[in-house]
Amino acid sequence: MKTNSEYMLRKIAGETILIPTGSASQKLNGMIRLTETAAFIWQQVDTASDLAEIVERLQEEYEVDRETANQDVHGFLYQLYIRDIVRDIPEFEENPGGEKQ
Amino acid sequence: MLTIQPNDGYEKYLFERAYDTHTPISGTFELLPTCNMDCRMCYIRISPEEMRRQGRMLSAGEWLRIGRQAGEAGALFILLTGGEPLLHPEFREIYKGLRALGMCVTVNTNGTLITEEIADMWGSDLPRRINISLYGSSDEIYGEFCRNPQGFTQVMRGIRLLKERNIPVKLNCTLTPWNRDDMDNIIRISEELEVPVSIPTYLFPPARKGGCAACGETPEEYRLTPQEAAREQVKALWRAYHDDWDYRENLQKILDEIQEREKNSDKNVLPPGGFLCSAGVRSFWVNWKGVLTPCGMMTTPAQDLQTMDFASAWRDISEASSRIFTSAKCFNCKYRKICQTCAASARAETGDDGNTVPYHCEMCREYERLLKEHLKEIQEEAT
Repeated sequence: MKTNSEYMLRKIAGETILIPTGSASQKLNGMIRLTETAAFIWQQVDTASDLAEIVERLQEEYEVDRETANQDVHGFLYQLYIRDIVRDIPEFEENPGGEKQ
Repeated sequence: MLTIQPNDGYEKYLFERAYDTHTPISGTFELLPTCNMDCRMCYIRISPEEMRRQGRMLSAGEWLRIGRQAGEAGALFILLTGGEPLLHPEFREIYKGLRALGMCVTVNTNGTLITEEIADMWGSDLPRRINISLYGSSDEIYGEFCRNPQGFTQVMRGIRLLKERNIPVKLNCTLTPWNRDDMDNIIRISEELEVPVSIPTYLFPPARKGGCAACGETPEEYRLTPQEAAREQVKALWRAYHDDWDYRENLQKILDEIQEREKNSDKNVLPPGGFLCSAGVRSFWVNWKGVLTPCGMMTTPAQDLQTMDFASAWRDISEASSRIFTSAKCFNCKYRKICQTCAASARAETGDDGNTVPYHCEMCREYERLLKEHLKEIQEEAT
C-alpha cells in the first residue's frame, strides 16, 4: 500500500491539500482539499501494512467508534484508489467497491 | 463518509485564510531582467550587459532553495516572470523543481520562445496557467511596439503549441498608444482561440528604472492619457458583455456603488497600515537578484534572500509593509472600488506612498462620466 508520489501533500494556512504534479496533473490540474481526518489517513498509507492498521491508528488518534473509522478509511481510500492517487491496496483489488469485509 | 471535496471557491477561501494568517501563499519569481523583445513601456527590461553590470542571475539551485524555504513558510502559488523567463538557461530545472515541491506554477511569457520541447514539458506537468502578453494582432505592430518584426507570428505559433496540448492559456493585452486601435482584433483573436483575455489600460511609470512620473524624469508617451485609458476601459468592458441587458445592469451597479460611497462614506477615516492589497500580507515578489519585496513595483522594503532565510525576511517585509500608509483621501474616495491606485502606484507616480495620484483621479472621473453617458445612450436606444 502506498501513495502516488506525484501527489504532494501541502499544509497551507491551516489547510491540508494534495497537489497533483507530473502526469497526475493531466487528470486534475488543481488541488484536492483534505479534511483533518482525511489528511491523517493519507499520512498513514505509506507506513501501515493494511487498512485495518489505519483504522486502528485512526481510533487511537481520534475518539471515533470502529464502524465509523472503518467507513472513513475504506470509503476515502477507495475514492483515491480508483483515481490512482493511492496504489497497491489488496483489499480493494479483491473487493471492488471498497465496502468493509 | 469522507469524500474528495470539490475545488469550487476553495482557492478563494485559501487566499482569505492566508490573508488572515499573514501566510505568503502567492509569490512572483522574477527570473531575469532581460528579454528578446524591447517593448517601449517595459519597466523591467535591461540589456544583458547592464544586467551583468548590476549583478548576476540566480541559478536553478538558488531559486529552488528560495522556493523550498518559501514553501515551508506557506507559499503555494508561484508566478515565474521576467524579463522573458524562458531565456533563463535553467528554466526547465526551475519549473520542474518548483512543481516537485508541490507549487502551483503560473508563467508570464511573451510567447515568442515557446518551442515543441517547452510545450511538451508543460504538457507533461501542467502549469496552473500560461499568461501570454499579446501586444497586437500583426507583425507590423510587434515591429513598431516591441521591436520584434516577427513577434506576432512567433507568439501565435507558441499559443497553438500550448492549445494542442490542452495547456491553460490566458492573454494579457496592455493597451498603449501603439496598439490601442487594435483592441477589436485582439478580442477577435481571443474569441477564435477560445482563450480569455484581459485588457488593462493603466501602466505604472517605469520607476524601477529610476525617477518617477511627477518628477518629469520619465516620458509620458509610453502610455495612454488618463482620459484615453478610461475610454478604452469602458470599451473593453462593453466588449466583455455579449448581452446588452447584462452590460446595462453592470454599468448601473458600478454607478450605484460610486453614488453610495459618495453619500455614506465618512471622509475622515484613516486608512489602516499596509498596501490595501495583498502585498506584504499574503503575497510577495523576489527580483532577479534574489531580493524579497512586497510587490514588484517597489524596491523597498526589501530583504536579500541570499543572506537571510525566507521566513525571517518575510517577517521583516510583512512588518515593514504594515507601516506603509496610503492616502486618507484615496481611502475615503467615492471611486475607491474602481480606482487602481495603491501605495506602489502613488510612490511610482509621485514619489510618496501617501499621495493621491492625479492620473488615477482623472481616469476615474472620466470613467464615471463615460459610464453615465453610455448608460443613457443604451437606455434611449432601448425605448
